[in-house]
Amino acid sequence: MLPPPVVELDAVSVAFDRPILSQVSLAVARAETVAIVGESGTGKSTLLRLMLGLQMPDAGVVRVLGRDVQRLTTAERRAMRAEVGMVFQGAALFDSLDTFENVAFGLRERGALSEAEIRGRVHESLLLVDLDPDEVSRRLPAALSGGMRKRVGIARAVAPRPALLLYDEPTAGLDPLTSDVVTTLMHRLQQDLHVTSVVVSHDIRAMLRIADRIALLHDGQFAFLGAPDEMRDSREPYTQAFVAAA
Amino acid sequence: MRRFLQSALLALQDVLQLTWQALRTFPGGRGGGARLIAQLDAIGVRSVPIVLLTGLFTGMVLALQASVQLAPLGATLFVGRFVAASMLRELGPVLSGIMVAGRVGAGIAAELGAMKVTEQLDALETLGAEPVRVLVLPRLLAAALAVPVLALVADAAGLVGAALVSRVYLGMPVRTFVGAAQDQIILDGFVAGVIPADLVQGLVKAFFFGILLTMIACHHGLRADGGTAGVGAATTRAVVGASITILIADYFLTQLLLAIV
Repeated sequence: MLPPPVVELDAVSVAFDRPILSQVSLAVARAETVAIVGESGTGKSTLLRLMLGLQMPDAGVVRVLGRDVQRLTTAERRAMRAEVGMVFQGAALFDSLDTFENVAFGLRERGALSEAEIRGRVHESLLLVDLDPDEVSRRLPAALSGGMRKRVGIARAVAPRPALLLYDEPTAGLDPLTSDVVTTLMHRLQQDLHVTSVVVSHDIRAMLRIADRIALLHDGQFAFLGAPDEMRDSREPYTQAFVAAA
Repeated sequence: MRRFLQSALLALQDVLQLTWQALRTFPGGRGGGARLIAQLDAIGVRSVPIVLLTGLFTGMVLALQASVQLAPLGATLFVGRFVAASMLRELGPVLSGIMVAGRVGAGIAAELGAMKVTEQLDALETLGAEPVRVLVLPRLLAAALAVPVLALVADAAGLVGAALVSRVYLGMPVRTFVGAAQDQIILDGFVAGVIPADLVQGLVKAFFFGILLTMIACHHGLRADGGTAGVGAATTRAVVGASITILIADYFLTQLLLAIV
């Protein structure tokens, strides 16, 4: 018997002043990397917010780690997020805290590790993202380059060793070389930590490289959902145009 | 006018709700003590110079104006009484509140607004920390503790400034000025037999002003959107809203305190 999906969207709909998502369904298996791609404004980031319980759907069910997010209390939702790591588009590092304290923040909030264990975990997490802890630990976010901030954001997300990792446009705003470095890092992390990952990205070329499956959002629904090879060979006109444009 | 009043009342409701949410997270969890101390420094200690200057020059101007009005009546001896009553009951707490609203309120709204538009508030949530507990509660507690102390600083500076002006312009010995101020304080009575009623009025007002200006600033900061322009707009709304609210609250608090103290 297969283990239950880590993330399950069941006929989910969301509308703001116009429909954004329309009866969207998706199941993400354990240790799988699913990329959600599409044009700007198609609802990709909204999907991540639904998975985090930061937003509720207008219809349908969102299950994360087996729990219906809508039925959870605020405290239960907060506890669920302890098992989910999120890498934000702009890294969202805390400006007043240095790199060490940024990465340690989630660990301190959970209160499960001693100070020595926190130090070790932060050290380990920074090494995982190819940063020298001695060089960056005392630097404030303003003193880091864009690529380094993104990597510190990833380190902060993986430090608690979450069961699910969400990435929101991880290569946005980065030059092609740095984008490549970050993409390779994401792929390596997935292999080393075997963590389930959902990546929202406009960078279809990178996602074709690292994702197990790709979901293409268009007009509130998935125009395509399948393996990268299937996407390349797809005869669906919008999918073909999207891949060709990359 | 009706729409303005409606939106003002709705904003007040939101501010009160945020205050209640923050108080429910007391004492603030891990690191709460350190965050409170950091805010006491940011809100209290770092506001001392501006409050000192404000109090000093306000006292000086009060003494100057009072001496001009009282001189024709041969009553310049009452300058000390006038300044003491005005500073302790009104100008000390109100001007401290408004100065702190400008300095600290703007900073709070800008900081929280910047965190909102750069997704740092969402990051806090995903890392298991309630933004209200981590960001709002320490500021609320720090302001409630610090602004009354700042009002005392303003009062003291005002009395010193007034005594200086009285000495220079009226040739009044400092001892005479202090004696007149003391007479006024005694005349206005004591609470529980020991605390001057003038001081109680001023400190109670300062306590509420501190809470109001912080919560208004937090409210606007947490709702900022639209990038840097939105943060700027939130900061302006926070300072203007807090300053006006302090002036309006002053009237109602004065009514209440005059009836009970």
